[in-house]
Amino acid sequence: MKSPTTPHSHSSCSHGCTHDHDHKHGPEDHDHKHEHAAPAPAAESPATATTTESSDDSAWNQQFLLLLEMLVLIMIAAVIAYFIASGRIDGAAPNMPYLQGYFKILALTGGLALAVMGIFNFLMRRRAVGCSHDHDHHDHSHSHSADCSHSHDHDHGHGHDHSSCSHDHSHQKDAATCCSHDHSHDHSSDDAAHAHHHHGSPMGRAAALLFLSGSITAAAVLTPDEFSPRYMEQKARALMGRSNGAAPASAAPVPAKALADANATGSGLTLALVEKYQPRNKDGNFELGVMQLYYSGSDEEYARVMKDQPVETIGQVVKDEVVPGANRLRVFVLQVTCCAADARPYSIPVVFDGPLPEYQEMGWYKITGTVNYADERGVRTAVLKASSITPSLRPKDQRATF
Amino acid sequence: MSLPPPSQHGDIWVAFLSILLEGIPFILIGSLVSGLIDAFLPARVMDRLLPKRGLPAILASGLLGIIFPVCECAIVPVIRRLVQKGLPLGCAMTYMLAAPIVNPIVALSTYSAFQGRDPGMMTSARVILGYAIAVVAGIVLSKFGASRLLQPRVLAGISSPDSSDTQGTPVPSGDGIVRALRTAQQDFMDTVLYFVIGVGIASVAQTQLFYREDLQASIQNIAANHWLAAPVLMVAAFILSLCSTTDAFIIAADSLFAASAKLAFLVFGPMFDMKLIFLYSTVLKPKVIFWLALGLFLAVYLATMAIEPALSPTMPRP
Repeated sequence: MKSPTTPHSHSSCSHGCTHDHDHKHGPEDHDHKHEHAAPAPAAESPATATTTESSDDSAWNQQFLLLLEMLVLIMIAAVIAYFIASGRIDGAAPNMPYLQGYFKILALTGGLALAVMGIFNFLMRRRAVGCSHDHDHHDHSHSHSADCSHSHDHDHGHGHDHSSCSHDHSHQKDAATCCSHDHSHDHSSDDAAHAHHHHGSPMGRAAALLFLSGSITAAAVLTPDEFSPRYMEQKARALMGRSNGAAPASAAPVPAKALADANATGSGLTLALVEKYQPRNKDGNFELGVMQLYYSGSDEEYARVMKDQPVETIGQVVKDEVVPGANRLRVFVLQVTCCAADARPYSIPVVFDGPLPEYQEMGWYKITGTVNYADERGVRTAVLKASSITPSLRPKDQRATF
Repeated sequence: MSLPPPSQHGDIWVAFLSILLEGIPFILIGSLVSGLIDAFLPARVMDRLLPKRGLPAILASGLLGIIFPVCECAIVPVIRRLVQKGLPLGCAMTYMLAAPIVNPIVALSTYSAFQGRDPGMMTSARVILGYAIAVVAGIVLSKFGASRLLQPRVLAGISSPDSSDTQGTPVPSGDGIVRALRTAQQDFMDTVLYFVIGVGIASVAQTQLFYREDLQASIQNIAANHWLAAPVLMVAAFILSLCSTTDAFIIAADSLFAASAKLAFLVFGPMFDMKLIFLYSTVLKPKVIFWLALGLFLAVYLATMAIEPALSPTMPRP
């Protein structure tokens, strides 16, 4: 422990810790000008904050900023909560949520935590802790004898003057650990530290908060909840046919129970087992999503069973530019992994016996046909041998398998 | 309330909002960790934990992500705090660059994304390359003084060495929490502001520029080029600003690009992208960020080209 003779000026502390920024004083000053006396049990007088004018201003600014921050955090939380509660988080277009799966839960939890943090910090704004949160605060907190090891209950009935031991001049009432600071620490870079602690002027921070809340509000108000057809088409065409290969574990095409049964009996996957867990519709077709069909090629057993089976699927249709052909289309859905910005198209080719029927590029269609498998870019790919395509409403509830 | 009709500028808002909602929880996590470090980790404790000598310390820092796995948004406020707690710069930079790659969550997601495409090779190549490049970057950066690298306000908050000899007694826990949350909020506010700016620019680039047909046509031509495929995907990673825990799912299935280009995407993206420019600017000087970008770009490019022979034969080619 150094002797308490080194002159020091405390940097401003965390938000609630505001005080006169540029006081330089020796320890003797504490007793008088700033009530920085060593904690003395004898001091009976209740704490009275003797703050300078500038500290008043600063304290007010800090409190105002904390209030603003709390409001902005609550606003962010409200936006997140609203999008999730209203279901808008799932987007207006099928299969194109803002957030997928557990990212929704993460966002909601994060949003609520933000609001709690903002409210907590605002309520605790007067509480002084450790002061100078950015550098060796710990050094401040251990130089005192029993006097200072009081509880932190803001109870001033201990018989000693809290204010006297706080080096933080605007909140002596609540001084907790501040009262036990080591007066000897040398804050040589205090002036510079001020700039850091306040992260710029109050005006600058208020402007930043305004920008933050403004941009989030603008996004929440102006978002159409779905990408424009133009962008979807651009993206779909850019990435079409560029995804291939095995399914992620979470997107296994084979009904897990069928697979389990097959393994249990040791008989291998059979059509009967697939039918048991993936019932046909009244037309005798398996209703499969484009994603399911897309990944069906990755499981050899499943592909063997499903070959030549009648299926129907719903998706958007474009001319096949991956493997061009006069009788070929491609049906695709966009799939979001985490957030809407990472949506990618998953597509399978649709092949007609004769010439192409009339269709509209990027339109939604229900396609009926039999499934087959072919090599596309070195990977076994499902190919739909189509018997008919009929316009379909875009399925609001078409959620893919992962 | 009726929604605005889908439109070209509406695309920006959708992308902006979705990345924002995805990233905010992670920035909060990083800020909370930073706050906890501030309140409960005695100053300069990192000095004591890490090996004393420079190189072993840097080598160890690159592995910290295994113990404390975070993605690149969360790591920045943590790094800023650790630097101020006395973590040597070389170590801090190595940890910052390595943690979003050298961590179990990212390894797992990479492995599962590359199922069926030699996932073991891709995952280990990603982790090892990420680690090696982060270490080299840390060694290079450790040669410069903190004052040349850090933003003045970060510099100002660094614990002074002469105060480190005291026994950093933690503050009593009740107050520790108050201070942790206070610091966390400050860090969150700081970080999220830059995050919002970065996400905004990335959203504009993605929705207005990146998928334009002419641009994509040239990208697809370039993809076939042995030497240009990796740089193109690195630029894509830069623009897309994906989270390191999910980027593998986005690129793994792509059949257009060679494995080495995908590896470059997976190593460069978590170390440097559009949103990270703004996040890094809360710690580093603009000039440092520029040179860091250039250095990382070259390092990732050269490294992936060098190990390409080990990757390609096992990967299905288009």
